Amino acid sequence: MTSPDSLPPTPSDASLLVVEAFIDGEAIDLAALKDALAHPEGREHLVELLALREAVWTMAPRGYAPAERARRPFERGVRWFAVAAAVMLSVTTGYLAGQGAARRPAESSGVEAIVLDHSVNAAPPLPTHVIPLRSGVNWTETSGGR
Amino acid sequence: MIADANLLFTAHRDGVFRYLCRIVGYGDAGELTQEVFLRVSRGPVPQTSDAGTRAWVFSIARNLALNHVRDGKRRGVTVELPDQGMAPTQELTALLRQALERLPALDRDVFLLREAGGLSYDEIALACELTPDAVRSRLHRARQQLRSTLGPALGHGAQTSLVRPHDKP
Repeated sequence: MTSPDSLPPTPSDASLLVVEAFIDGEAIDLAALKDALAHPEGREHLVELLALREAVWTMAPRGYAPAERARRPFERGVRWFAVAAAVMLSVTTGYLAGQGAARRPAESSGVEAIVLDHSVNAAPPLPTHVIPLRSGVNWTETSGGR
Repeated sequence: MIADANLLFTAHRDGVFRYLCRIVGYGDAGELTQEVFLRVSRGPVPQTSDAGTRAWVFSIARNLALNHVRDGKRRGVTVELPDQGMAPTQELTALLRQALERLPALDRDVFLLREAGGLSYDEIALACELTPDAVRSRLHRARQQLRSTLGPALGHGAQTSLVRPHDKP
């Protein structure tokens, strides 16, 4: 069994910093690292830092993944409002277009308008041929027909 | 400039997204990542080293995240509480989320810029306007606090690797 006296002194923070610099890929003094790792606390520090690093890595994805952004309630409300506004606009536009077409003069649709103007008291046209009624004439049709 | 923005987006979108996911949550991180690179495309890219450019991109992400969190606090945020029926990994994730929320804001930023964003100490120092020694110190403090908060929940049956995708050349 190893006597406590044979163990190197408890690593100071400086020794633990060497261990940390080692796992962080920084420049280190190899002799200092050897001294730090000669002590159980130095080795434990190394193992726990690696475990901590692993835990940090498992917290979240390791690479950039631009997920589709979840819409906030406000944005969802705006979206529904926009849809409702679009529907209202199209209905209103259709209604006004119909009203306009009803009021528009008929020439645009190709149908000739017949305007009856009752305001002028126009006389009936004069006859072009007058047939005098004579007594004694048989007006009954006898030839052709039935 | 647009080509620069495209290159920066390709190079840093994953790191920025990971970092933002852990601060603002998955739901908002995608949108915020797009906002980061929109700002990157609008402003002049500083003529500096790759590390300086990366620090600049992450400083924009950090500022946006801080604003987002501040606005969220003003609106009131929904906090997910750990469920007793959760799988061990989910439980650890929930505990870690809570532990991160308890850290001082700057310590949390430094920690997440390192662990999620994959920034070096110098890059974190540039992004947070700190010295590299201050970054080292804050990172150590954050890790110690997280270790003590999470305690035995850490590392139960976990498998891990020393090298992460953002560490690979």
